[in-house]
Amino acid sequence: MTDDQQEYIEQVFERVRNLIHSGIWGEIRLQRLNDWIGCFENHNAALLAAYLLDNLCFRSRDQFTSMLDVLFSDARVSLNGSGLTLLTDVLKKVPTGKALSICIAPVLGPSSPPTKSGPYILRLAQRQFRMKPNWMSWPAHIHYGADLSNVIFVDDFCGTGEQFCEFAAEIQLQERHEQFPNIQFWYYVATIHDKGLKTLTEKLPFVSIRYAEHLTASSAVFSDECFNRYQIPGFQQLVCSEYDRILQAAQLPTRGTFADGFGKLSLAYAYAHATPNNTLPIFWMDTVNWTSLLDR
Amino acid sequence: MNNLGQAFVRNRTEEFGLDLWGTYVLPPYYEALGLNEVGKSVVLEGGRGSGKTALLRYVSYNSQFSSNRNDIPNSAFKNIGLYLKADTQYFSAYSGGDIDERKWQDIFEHSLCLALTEQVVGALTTLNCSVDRKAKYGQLEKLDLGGAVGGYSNENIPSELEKFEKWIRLRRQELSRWFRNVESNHLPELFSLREFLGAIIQEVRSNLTYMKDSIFAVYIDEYENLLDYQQRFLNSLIKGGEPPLIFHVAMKPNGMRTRQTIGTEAIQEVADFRKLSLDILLEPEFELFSAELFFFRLVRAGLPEGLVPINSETLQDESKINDRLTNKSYRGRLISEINRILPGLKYGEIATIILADSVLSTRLKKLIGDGIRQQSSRLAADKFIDKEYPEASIVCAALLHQSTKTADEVLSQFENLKNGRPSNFKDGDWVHHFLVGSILLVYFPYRQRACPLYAGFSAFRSLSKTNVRHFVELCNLATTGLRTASEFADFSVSIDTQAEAALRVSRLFKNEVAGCGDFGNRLLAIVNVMGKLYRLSQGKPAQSEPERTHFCVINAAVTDEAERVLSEAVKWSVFFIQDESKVKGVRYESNEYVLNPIFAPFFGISYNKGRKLEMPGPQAEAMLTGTVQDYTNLLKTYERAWATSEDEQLTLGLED
Amino acid sequence: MNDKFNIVSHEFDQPEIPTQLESRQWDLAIVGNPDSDERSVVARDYAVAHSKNNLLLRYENNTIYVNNELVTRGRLQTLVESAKSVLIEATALACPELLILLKALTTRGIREISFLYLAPLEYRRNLKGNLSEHRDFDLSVNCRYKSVHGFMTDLTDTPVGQAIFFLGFEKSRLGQAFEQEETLREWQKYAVFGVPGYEPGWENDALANNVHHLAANSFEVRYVAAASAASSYKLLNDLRKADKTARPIVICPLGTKPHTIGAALFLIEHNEGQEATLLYDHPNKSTGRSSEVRRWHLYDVTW
Repeated sequence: MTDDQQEYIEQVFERVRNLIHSGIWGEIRLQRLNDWIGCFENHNAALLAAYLLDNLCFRSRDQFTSMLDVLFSDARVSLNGSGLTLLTDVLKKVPTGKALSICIAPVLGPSSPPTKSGPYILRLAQRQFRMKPNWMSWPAHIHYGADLSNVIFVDDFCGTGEQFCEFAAEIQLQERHEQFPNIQFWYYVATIHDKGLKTLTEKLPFVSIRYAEHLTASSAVFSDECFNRYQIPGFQQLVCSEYDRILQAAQLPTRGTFADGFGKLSLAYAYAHATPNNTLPIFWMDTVNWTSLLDR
Repeated sequence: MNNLGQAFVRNRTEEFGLDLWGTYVLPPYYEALGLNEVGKSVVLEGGRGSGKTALLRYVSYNSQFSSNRNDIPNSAFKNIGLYLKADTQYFSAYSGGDIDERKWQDIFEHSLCLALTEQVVGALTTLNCSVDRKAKYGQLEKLDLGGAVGGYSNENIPSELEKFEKWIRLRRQELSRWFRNVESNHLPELFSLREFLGAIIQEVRSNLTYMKDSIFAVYIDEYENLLDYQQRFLNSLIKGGEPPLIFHVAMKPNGMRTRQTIGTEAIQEVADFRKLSLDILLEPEFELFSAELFFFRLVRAGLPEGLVPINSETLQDESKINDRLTNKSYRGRLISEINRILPGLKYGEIATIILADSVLSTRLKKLIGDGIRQQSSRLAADKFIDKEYPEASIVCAALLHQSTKTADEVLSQFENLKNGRPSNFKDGDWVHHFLVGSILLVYFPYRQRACPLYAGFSAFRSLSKTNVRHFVELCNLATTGLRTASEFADFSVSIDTQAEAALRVSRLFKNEVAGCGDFGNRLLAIVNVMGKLYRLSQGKPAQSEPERTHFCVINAAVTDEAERVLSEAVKWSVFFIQDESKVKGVRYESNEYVLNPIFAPFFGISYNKGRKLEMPGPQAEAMLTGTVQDYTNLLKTYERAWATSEDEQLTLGLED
Repeated sequence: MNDKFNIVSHEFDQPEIPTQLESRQWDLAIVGNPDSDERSVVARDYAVAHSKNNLLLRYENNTIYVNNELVTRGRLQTLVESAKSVLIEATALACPELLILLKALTTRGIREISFLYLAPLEYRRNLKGNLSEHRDFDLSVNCRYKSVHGFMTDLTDTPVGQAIFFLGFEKSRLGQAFEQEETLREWQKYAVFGVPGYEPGWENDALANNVHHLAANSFEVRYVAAASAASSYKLLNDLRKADKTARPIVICPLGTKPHTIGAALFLIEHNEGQEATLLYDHPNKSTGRSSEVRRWHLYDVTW
């Protein structure tokens, strides 16, 4: 290893320790980080570990609060022909009348396990903005009627868009749209990937999408675009070869659904409360030979 | 405080406030400063971490008249210190708008006047802070401050101290308000510093018996950050200062950009002021002082004083300084105790460790093997390694790469050594010259493995030079394992922990260079380039120019711009000047610039002043003022040159 | 009590002039010198085309220049007072200019103020030649912190309060602040990062380059979207209200321009008794670095 590589590795590791120590990556425990790095070091792949950590986007609880802020603070809806600020004009006030004009629900289909993030995100948002709970509902219990003008589905992450499409099918969203063409459907998602955005725009064009962060192909951590920032000859090959070696040694998937993250998005992106499965399994998968850094 | 590991966390004076009474260890040079005898202005020069600010806060009234002080000796009244730290960003705004520089100078003068007057009032108030003090000193009702300076203002100025203090505060707020709308046609009433302050002092001396002979010594800190006209104005104060009002300034090295005053004459050293360099004054006794400080901090953090070889009161007693310096057994106890807690290894012991460590000894064997092969010899590497002679074994790695020695010769000298015969290893100083470099050479590729050379009280001292802050930070990171007093008697920091602390501190302070002054970014780049060059040199197996940590410019002097950068590098303690420039025959040689040893652990180089790197003018110019590409080229040039010739007086760029 | 300013943000994720902005008009536009920066040129052209009058503003060496002539604050107020609506071209204008301008506008009671900011397309620097030293070979001259008339205080004479640092990707600016103004280490310190960033991953530069200060100096960390002026303004007001002892506040806007806009509004609001002052290092605009437009931001401020 060259001096430069050694120093890079030490710099990144020191930085990450500081990020944990200062609370910016507060929910990651130092010991867990050390254990994960240790796995790489055992296989002489410290450079890979440094590269992955250098490019990891970890959204702590506090950072996520800021993302919810982006999602909700300036959001506007149209009600009876007039434009309203969602939070101040609607959600912070108690609804008048029997039927709701606006309904906000988590992305959680009836057959989904209760561990999905949707309800948690909604709860966070409700507390953060002091929304009146009266506006909230389970997706299966939304009362579709003449009074309802806006339905907002809330979730944290949209990768390929498959999950939301499945959810939409489960709650028969397309049918609802055809039945009530005047209802504006919204999908408020904290982070969306380009792939998901395209899928949804194609398959569910009547759903308006609002997001705080937008990932693209260059977010893939082994993409050329990502490596292009490092204009160091041979660096990409070195890191990729270490990665291939680690996958073998750690018995992490090289084929199948989760190799390269679900949908092959190859992300290095995670929240404190959950890690999308589009993120590389090297971060979140435990095997006999491998300790994870993050929890799914 | 039960956690002794926190004893060294605070390493800046700012964190201790203005009143240092009870927390300040008098530096060994305190008496030599002669601040109590002052009749002439003093220019105090000290880099970061030199203890300059702490010293000034100690001599200011805030500490001298501290409410924590039980008995104030008469000597404390001789020179009453008024300490003013120039807030740079604030005073830099004393310019511009539609106001010319001359007027700004008056406004600056007025601002100083108000601040210093407030300080005089503060001195009186702090002194008379309790009923007992008022009984002992008091007499404040005799003061007619308004009467003393009434002639300078159109307003009615209150006479009584407290009301006068409020009035001054209002004037300061008035100035502050004026800054919200800087315009020449509604300036507040401006006062002239020497007259106004002089009159106040006169009033104080005439009426307060305990201050009838007092001299007021103004210390203005961070002088180097003031604007040019502000420096000239202070220079005038220095020149014109005489008892009972004297002006002193404190600054970093090379901080005095001009000797001009606002008049026609310039100020001159000796005639108008004495220059005291705190770094130079501290150096001879840094060993004693740093050890004293170490134990003092532990006591302050809660360690019972009985467990340490110092006495807190002695360290703060001006009359005991000489005792501290001359008492041999005191010094002996101190050094031996701190060496127990921060033990170092002798070079020989490190050599033994290398031989016993599988990774390091493999590396040594490879180095030796390479050297033998280079010599086209067929001797076995094992012949040059002997556990009984670790130092010589290590040094062989270098010797075998030197073209002036053959493998056979080295082996024969090694045999001599082993058999008690005269040997170049000892008598020819081979071990003496090459051991440190060879040790570093063995550790060279293992950057994450901190070399034991950087461990130990003695190493810590060498790394910090005279920088108290660096020393304290080294202790801080090394002693995090210390918790309670009960552990103390057996407590000792492991070599590895100390060496790792040194590496971390080295990186920490290297990163801080970017924030140093106008050229911080450039200075950091220079540290990186020079560090890398010295590391390149350190990595050469022949070690024929061992322990390179400083350079001089030869043949051609550098441009003014480069001189400016050099001056900044010295100011911010990136380089230290070791020797003056000279002309050797027809060859020009500049000052010798030593890289701050605190960077040594990061680059894996020595902290001693070893061999010199002679840099031809154009290369030095590139290093000081060049572009990123120039740096890359510079490093490549040396890399190529040093890869091909094992032994060189650097001839790059030189004419024959 | 409500905050003084109401900010409505409009964001247009495209490099061309948004159709929604084509019909907007203002009485007066204030622009800065675009140098050769493409974004600033586009912004300047838009501002000039969509206003009846325009002025070129510059603050240099503690002096105000309008159309390259030295003016006093009083004169500046006179120059703006007849406008009902003003567009401030904030792409080229720097923090001190925004402050001075806002002061003049609010003093003269102008209640419709818009800020235009065009975000750049390419910004993240590449690591060249060295993995570990990409920042360390930045040879630009550091900038010194210098007070701005009207928003200044002598820190050695100010009681300890709250210091709020908006942080950007540069490595040396925060360190320089502490080096130059050591007293600030004792203040209650907040570090504000732009999360979410302009693009995911960009925030990592700011985090990486500043985190060692945070660890060493007991900062509290806060996050405000990089493009949000309203959230930065709100954060500052929230922090101020949370401090029941009403201590002095120092704002150090080293982050994104939208953050600086929010900070400027806050400073104007709370500057009467010098409770809030500015700490700023006046960086040189990178001359010659022309960058294309990524997004349009318009912030409509009323009060």
